[in-house]
Order: sequence, then C-alpha cells, then structure tokens
Amino acid sequence: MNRVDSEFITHIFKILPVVLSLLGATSSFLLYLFGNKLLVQIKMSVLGKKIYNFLNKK
Amino acid sequence: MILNRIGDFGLVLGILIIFVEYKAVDYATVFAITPIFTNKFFNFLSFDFDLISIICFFLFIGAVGKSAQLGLHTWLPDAMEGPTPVSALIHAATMVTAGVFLIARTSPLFEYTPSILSLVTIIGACTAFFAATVGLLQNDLKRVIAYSTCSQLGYMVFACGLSNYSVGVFHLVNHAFFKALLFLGAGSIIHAVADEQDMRKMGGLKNLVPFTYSMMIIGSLALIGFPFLTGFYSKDVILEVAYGKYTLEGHFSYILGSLGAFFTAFYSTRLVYLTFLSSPNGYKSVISSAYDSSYQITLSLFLLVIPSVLIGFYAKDMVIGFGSDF
Repeated sequence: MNRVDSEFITHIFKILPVVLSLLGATSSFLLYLFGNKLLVQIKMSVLGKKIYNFLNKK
Repeated sequence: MILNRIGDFGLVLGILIIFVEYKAVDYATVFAITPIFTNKFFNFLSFDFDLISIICFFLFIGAVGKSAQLGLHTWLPDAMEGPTPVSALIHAATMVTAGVFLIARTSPLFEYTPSILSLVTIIGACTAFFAATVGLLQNDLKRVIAYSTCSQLGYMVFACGLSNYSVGVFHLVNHAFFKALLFLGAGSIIHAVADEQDMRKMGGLKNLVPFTYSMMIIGSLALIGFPFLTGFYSKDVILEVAYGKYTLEGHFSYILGSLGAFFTAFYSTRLVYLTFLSSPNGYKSVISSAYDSSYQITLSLFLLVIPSVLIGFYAKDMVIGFGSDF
C-alpha cells in the first residue's frame, strides 16, 4: 500500500534526491577544480580542523 | 572483532528467546504461532518486556553488527586492510548485507512491533547520513568506498524499517553489482600505482588507465543514483516510500536520506577527481609506469558493469513492481 501512496507524493519531493545528487556531484567537481585555495583555508581553520578530527574519529 | 561479537551476542539472545518461548526455531512455525504471543511479556530481573519486541530488538542488534550500522560500524572500514577482491565479495556484496536479509527474512515478526520498526528506521537513516559525511573526509581509496557501503546499508535498513522489505532487498541486489565494480576498480587502480591507496598521491590517471577510469565513472554514477543507472531505480524508490509513509520517522529518514544522497555524490566525484582528473601528485616513476590491468581484471570489471547499468531497469518490475509478490 505504501508503494502506491508514494506514487502520489508531490513532484518536488520525488525529484529532490536526484537534484541533490546532481548538485553534489557538480559542486564537488567545481570545488576541487577551482576552489583548491578555499578548501585549504577551510581545512586549516579552527572549525575545519574540528570537523575533520570529529569525522575521522572512530 | 569485538563489535561483531556484540552483534552475534544479540542475535544468539534473540534466537534463544525464540527457542525458550516458541519451542521451535524454524521460520514457518515461528511465523505461524507469533499471533498467539502478541500480548505476552518476557520477565527478566523482575522487569516485564513485550516478548516480540525484545526478540526483534535482539535480532536487530545482530543485524546492526553484521550490516555495520551506526554504533557497531567501525569494523567495516578497518576490514579494508584485507585484499581488494575479498572486500569486493564480502564487504560489499555478500556478508555485510546479511543483516538486511535477516530483517527482511524475519519481517513477519518485525511487523508486530511498530516501536522496533521505528528504531530500525531511525538507526538506518542516521547511518545513511553519518557514514556519508565521514566518507567525505577519507583519503584512503578503499575507506571511501567502505563508508559508502555503510551509507548504502543504512538506506536498505531504513527501507526495511518502513516495512518496504522488497525495496530494501532490491537496493541490496543493485548495490552488490556496482559496489563490487567499484571495489575491483579500486583494486585495479591500486595495482597500477604500486599499491598506493592514498588518493592525495594519485591524480592524472585518466589517460594512463582509461579502461579502469571508464569503469569507475560508471560505478560512481550508479552509486550516486544518476538517472537510469541501477542505483537510481532503488535509491529513488526508497526515498519516495520514506516520504510517502507520512510518519515522523518516514520524513526524518527522507530528509537524512536526501542529504546522504548529496554527500554520496560529493565524495564519489571527489574520489574520481582526485584519482583520475587532478594533476599527478605521486612519484613520477610510479605514475608514469601506471597501466591498465591484465585481461582477467578488466574482464571481471566489464562483466560487472553490464548489470551495474541495466539490472535496475530490467529487474524493477519483477522485484518492486505493483502486483509483484516478491
């Protein structure tokens, strides 16, 4: 029954995951192609280091 | 090791409680007499627990341990020390999905416990999101793919938590093909660059290993859920049914799943960019002598790329189509 209900959800919520996926791929590509300095700055900032350490912990 | 033992202990406890109360452990008998036990309580240390809930909770602990869900997940990236073909077979396609299979196989029990199903959904959604965020910052090629496996297992688990077991199993099957392709592709790359696994020391491999490059691109696109590739047909349906459930945990898992899809696309593109498209960052002698692997490896990659592109489209109606009794 749930599968049938999911066919009738609002169109925006149906395409949102695909849009986010394409956005993620594009932003990653552009960031690594043109934003190397920005990436280094983020990594070396205090918040960046905290996030890096947190996500690399087990 | 210890994390797997915790999961195994939960599974054994679940089976033992089933045996003590039902006096049987075969699926048909247990499922047939479960309605009798719906209002029965299990007494332990003077506390009364709902019998079916406690059984499903312990079975779920077993699934969490085996399928590397949040809390018991760290063993999976650590297991990447093993050979890459082993990772492709065991840590992507077969063993880690046993937890998801356990939930799907014991679904007649889980359906009697809405609270445990909510727990399954929340843990799965959190795993899908957090494993994707951790994958963003890994520099080891295989660890990125390992965290991606964790994340995709989260999608399967929360699909099961939303009572859409066939959708979860469909993603399990699709994931097996493109993740095995990615692991074997990673093995081919590591072989080409003299056993280097750090993506920061790669780069510029696009023209040196063109076949592996094209295979990794297809595998990554299937993982991202690029329209009309295999991952799209299952991941998209999982998120649709999550939203279409119209419950708090359904919307919670939809939001985390969608954000997880964004991060999945981000780290997959990062993997491809750092490995193939960026300027060479490794030793000149290593990068200049990189070449595509032998035909045994390229043939296996080619055999995996066909289902990675087509199986979602062709199997969709059979597994999750309307009227399917799968």
